[in-house]
Order: sequence, then structure tokens, then C-alpha cells
Amino acid sequence: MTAPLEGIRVADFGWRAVAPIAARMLAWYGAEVIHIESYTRLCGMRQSGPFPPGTETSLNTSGFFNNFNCSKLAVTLNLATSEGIKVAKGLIKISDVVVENFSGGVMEKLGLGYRDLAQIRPDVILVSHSLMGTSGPWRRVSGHGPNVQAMAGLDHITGYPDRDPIGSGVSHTDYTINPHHSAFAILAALHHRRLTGRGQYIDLAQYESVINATGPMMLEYFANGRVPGRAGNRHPAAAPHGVYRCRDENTWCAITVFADEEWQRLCQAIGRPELARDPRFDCLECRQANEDALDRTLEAWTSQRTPGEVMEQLQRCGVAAGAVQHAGDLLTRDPQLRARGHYHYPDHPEAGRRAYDGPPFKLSAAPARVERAPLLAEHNDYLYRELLNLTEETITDYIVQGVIA
Amino acid sequence: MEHEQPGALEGLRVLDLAGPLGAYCGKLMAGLGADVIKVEPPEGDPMRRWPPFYHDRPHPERSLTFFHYHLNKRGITLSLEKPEGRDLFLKLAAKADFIVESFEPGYLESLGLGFQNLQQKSPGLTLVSITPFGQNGPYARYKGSDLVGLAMGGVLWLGGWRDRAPMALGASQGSVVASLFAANAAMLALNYRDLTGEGQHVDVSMQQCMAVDLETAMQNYDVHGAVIERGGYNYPLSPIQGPGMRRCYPASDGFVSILPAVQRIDEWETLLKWMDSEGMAGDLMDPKWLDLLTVRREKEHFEQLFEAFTRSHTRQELFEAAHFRFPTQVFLAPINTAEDIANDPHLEARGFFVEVNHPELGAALRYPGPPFRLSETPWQSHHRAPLLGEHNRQVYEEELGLSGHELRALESEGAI
Repeated sequence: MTAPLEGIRVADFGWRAVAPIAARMLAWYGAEVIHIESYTRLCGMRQSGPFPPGTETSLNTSGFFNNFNCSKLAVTLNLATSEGIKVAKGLIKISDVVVENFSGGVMEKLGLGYRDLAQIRPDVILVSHSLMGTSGPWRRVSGHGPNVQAMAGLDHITGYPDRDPIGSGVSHTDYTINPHHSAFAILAALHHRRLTGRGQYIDLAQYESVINATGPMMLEYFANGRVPGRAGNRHPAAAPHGVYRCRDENTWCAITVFADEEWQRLCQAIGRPELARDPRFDCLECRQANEDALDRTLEAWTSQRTPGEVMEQLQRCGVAAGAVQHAGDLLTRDPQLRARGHYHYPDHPEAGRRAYDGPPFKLSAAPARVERAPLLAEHNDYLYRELLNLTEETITDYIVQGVIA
Repeated sequence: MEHEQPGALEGLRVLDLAGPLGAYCGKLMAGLGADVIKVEPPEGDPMRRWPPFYHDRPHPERSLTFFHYHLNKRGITLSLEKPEGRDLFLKLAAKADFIVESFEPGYLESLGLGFQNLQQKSPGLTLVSITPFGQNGPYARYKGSDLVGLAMGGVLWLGGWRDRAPMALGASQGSVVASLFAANAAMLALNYRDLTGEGQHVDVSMQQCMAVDLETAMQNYDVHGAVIERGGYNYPLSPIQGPGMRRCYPASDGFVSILPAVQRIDEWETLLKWMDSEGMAGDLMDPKWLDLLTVRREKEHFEQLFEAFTRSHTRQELFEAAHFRFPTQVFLAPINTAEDIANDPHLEARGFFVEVNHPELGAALRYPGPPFRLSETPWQSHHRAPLLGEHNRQVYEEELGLSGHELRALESEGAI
């Protein structure tokens, strides 16, 4: 069976989240992704847990790292040496895509900027994922996903109007928006290259990428001069639209009603048909004007039930409702994720059988390949002997000199 | 000049039937040059009724949310409920490379427009289906929304304050992310078609799209059976990731966000030196504060001192010092509002925002520019979102060869 990216090789100079996750998308669908690391500059993810008990000192068992780097190969190479750069160029010469997420300007300083790469490999696709992009006064500013979320406005509009911003529970843009804007651009560029033979440079500024994901907020300011703030769980085109307390401690259910027919059905579903005729609630604007009372009414009903009961009873009547599930629910109880085969459990020599996310979609003609993450330096032989044909002598020298390190 | 370079997806035709859940998918494809035709029911896409509206006047042609997600698309109306509408749809599908839709699973099949039927007529066609829970499984027919997707996908559990209900990310992230993954899947299908000539059915689940957003919560349960709780002030990150302290602090003119030590101890040392250089480090220069385990144990003490420090500066002062004063950068950023972003000199220097003409409003509106910049095939922001049925004549008459008479008949039957 043909994989969509059969024959594509990716040199992944990324570390931590964004670039490695973008490359994971390519690895899932058949590209050979070589993750370049160094003992001299370890990816912090390998040192971050969670680790299976008893493996805390291993560099190969981090659930954080492994989930993002599944289906890849791993090699060590020290880019702080001139020989290391030479070897990197050898790998780039036989690669189709190069991804990196150093701070702006670092690749140029290493002699691995797009101009350098295009001389070695004219049709290469190079992708940078710096925070601020490769131009502009703040191009050297570095940081992490939560910094980007703050700058791009997501933190300001996440939370309650009566409280300070709190950020989000996860470094959301690191796992979703930025790597997958990037993977989309790479895949389009690969298609373009198949048609024209031409590679290109993709400059993804994480800041700009995330502003696209909060776009209506910017239009509201530009068109109406208004600065959107925090709205809790409410939505301007829906009511009720919230998260409601259920029977047991710290259990919750989300319920959303956009159309008036859905409201009518909700009233039937909770056994309160008279509410459907209540003038406080019989149109969206009315429900929004009385949203506190509406939420109290609904919560009086949900707080007698489990999240599962609320969800099933409302869904049976065609109302959008969902239990607020935690990771344990997803892994062990959710029958939908099980039916979809979302989690994969490849065996790993040090970490054992651990859960990995698979792609959140299915392609009918091209199944994903979800394989365990590589051990640090696991594929050095493959790269240096098989792909680059280095002699035993050179390899030994490189190891002694700290190039392969 | 940019306009003269072709887009990477130039020459590809997308029929975009998706509702709000999938709107961003077609926008991404249009941005790279695909001809994306938004196909709306005669009464219009529901997002046309979503606030905010231009100058606050509610009208289907003034929704700013609709504007953002439909930039660069063309637009036609078509009723799939009418047999004439379905005939037209099949004619359009025969010329399309992609169909993007977010109907309930089984709806297109019930109209005889399921993937099998479409593929028989054009083997290279890819159908991209975006739904709350995917095409199969016990919840496949459950109703969804952005918030329900966040809830069922596990990310809502992790957001917000301990003393209140779990709290959603702002700006409809469930739909944006589902659409974004759908666009990835569409591009994978395109690369597959480049190799084999065959199209396929892409099946995206919003719930699963949110389930990949859980940081280490999934692995913590898998490995330790531990449930990560939402943070309140504290960010639920694993122990080695620095002191795991409060993220957001007030400045004199707003808020800032900080990760005090993520990768290396010198990030933390720099932060302490910075506070000390302004006489605001209190007792934090005691060597015990270089042990991150101490910091974790006594973080409230640090947080109090740091809050006094941030309060004494503007966000801009803090940002510039954090990134430009010391050899090691401190990972601090302003919590920007839309106004701050609109006036950001960095984005200005990069020429990020673009102006798009809206003749009906008598105005040019500013929009966010490219989410990424491709050197050979740049992002395009040529024309505003379509008016309802704006391109009916262009598409039905000029491309499908219908006569004006036939078009009017279809209109009066409610087929378009």
C-alpha cells in the first residue's frame, strides 16, 4: 500500500514541541523523519516526565518526548562543531524537507540558512518555526508556547470577565495551531514541488500563526474599535452555553444551544416543557438577557445527575452535550475513542507498552503508521554508515572529536 | 509582486459545504491559491448570523466572524434537499478536487451523495468530512459544538480555576483545530493522489483533535494512573519543568505571562539577578533559591515578590528587559489585547496585517496576514468573503453552461 509521503526524507532539527510535532505528522504518513539530537544539548522533553516508575534517569522513556516523536529515527550530532555542520549538510543533501525551531537567525549563523541549503539541495523545503519570524525588531526574542499565546491575545480572551487572566491549562498552541499550520504548509509545498520541481523557504512566526487562530478578535478591533475581553464559557450566538455542575464532586457537563428548536428539545429532555413557553427564554436574545437565571435552572437539573446521564439524556433529544472528561476517561472509559482506535500501544524496549496519540483523523486509503519513539542515538549506524557512507575511521574520529555526540 | 506568484494549490477546486466547525479548512486552502467555492443553503451559513457585526449592525452580510473564516472564497447557494440541487451538486463535484463538509455522518449518503457514489463519478475526488466525533463509533451521531468538543476531548478539564467550573479556551479553538487537522489530512490525500491518481475519504473527529492537546495529562494517567487537575493559579506541568508556579502577573498597565525556568537553570538565575538589579529580589539571592525543589516548595513567597516587581513596570519595560538586557533571555511576554496586537511595531515592520476591500461597506478592512510565509507560493488575501449567492451566475452560467432562464427557474424552485 502506498503511503502519501513515501520516499520523502525529513531532517528534523527541531526540539521541544513545535517542529518535532510538525514532523510527526509527516512521519505518521510515511516520510522517513530523522530527528537530530545531541548529548551536548539534550531536548528538554527527554528529561521531562512522566517516566514509567523506575526509569526516571533514562533519556528514552519520557512520555512527553515519546508521544511527539513516534515513528521517527533518532541520531546524535553536535552542531557546535564545524565537522558537525559538514555532516548535517550531508544529511540535508539527501533530504526533501528540513524543519527547525531555533530562535530567529540561529540557522544562518550555523551556515544552515535557506541560501546555504538551496546550494546543497536546490529543491529543499526548509521550515523555520521561530517565535517572531526571521525579520522585524524582535526577531531574536525566544520563548515558549505560553508566551506566544499571551502575545497573540489568546490569554486575554480566555477566562472570566471578573478575574485576571489565568492562561490556559495546556500549552495549547504548541500541540495544535503552530505545528499543524506548519505541516499544512509543508504538505502543500511538497505538492507544489512535485508539479514544478521547486522547493522553498517557509517562515512560520508562531506569533503570526496564532493571531490567525484568534482572527475575529482582531476584526472586531479593526472594524468596531472594540477590544474583546474574557467571556467565561459563554458564546455570543448561543444560550445556554456553559459547563454545569453534576452530581458528584468535581464532575461537569458542557451544554450548548444555538437554535431555538434545540432549546425546545432541551426543555422536553429535562422534563420542563413549560420552560419552552417561558418568555424569559423563548428566543436567543431573551435567553442571553436572562442567562444567569437560565444557567441556574439548568444546573438544578444537571446537579442531580452524572455527566454521562446528562449527556445521554440530552443527546437522545438532539441537544449538544458532552461530559467534561479527563485523560483517564479518554484512555479507559470513552467508548467512542476506543471505536475510533485513537490510542496506539506500541512496545518500547525501555518504556514498555505506552499510550501514544494517533492522528485525529482517518484517511480511507492510507492508514497511519504509529510506531514507538526512537531511543537517543538509536539510528546513528543507519545514518552514518548506510545513508552517508562514512568510513569506520571517520566515524571513530567523529566520536572521539565529539562530533557524533 | 506577490500577486504574480502562483499559490501552491493553484488550479485545485474545493467545494466547501462545511458549517462553522469546518470553515477554517477551506480558508487555509484558499489562502494557498485553491479555488474554494463556499456552497451555502439558500438561507445562508449559520455563521453569517454570528456576532460581532460590522459597526454592530446585525446583518448576514456584516458578520466579522464570517468575514474572517471565508476570506478569499467564492460563494454560491445550493439546496441539497431538492433533487435539482443535487443534480447541480453532482455536476459541480465532477469538476472538483475536494469536497469539504461537516454534516452529520450519513447525511450525504441518505441523499445518494456518499463517498462511494462521488468516487465512482470522479476517482480523483477527495471528500473531507469534519464532525464532532468522527464517522463511526457509538457517539458518531451525537450533536457537537466547540465547547462539547473541548469537553469530550479532555482539554476543558485542564482549564480554569479550581473554585469554578472548568473553563474553555477563547476564540472557538475546537473548530479552528478540527479545521486545521482537516486541512492537514486534505494535503496528505493530495500527496497520495499525486502518487496514485486516487482520491479518498478523510474522516476528522473534533474530539480526537482536542485529545492531542493534553500536554502530559494523557501520559500521566497512562504511566502513573494520575489525573492532572486544572490549575487555578498553577500550571499543571510535570515536576522537572521548573518550579510549576503561577503563570500570569499584573504589570502597571495590564498583565504579563512568564515561564520562569523551562530548559535550564540559568533562565531562573537571570530572573533573580534581574529582580536583584532593581533591589526587588528580597531574600531570593540566598543560594537555597537556586534549588528548584525549594522554589517549588516555597513558590508563594517568590510569587509575592515577583508580583511586586511586575506591578512596578509596564508590560513593555518588562518584555524588553526580559529579552534584551541579559545574555540569557527570561521567557516573559505581555498578555496582549487586540489593540496591542494591532499596534505592535514588530508586526508593523513585518507588514503582517493586510487590507481587504469591502465595496458594499464602502470600506477597506484590516485582516490578519499569512499564518506562515512561503517564499515561492505566498499566501493570498485578495478578496473579501462572498455575499450570499454572489457567484451563482459565474459558476452556474459561465461554468456549467446553464441559461439565464434555467437559473431563474432553479431560483424560484428554491434549489439555489
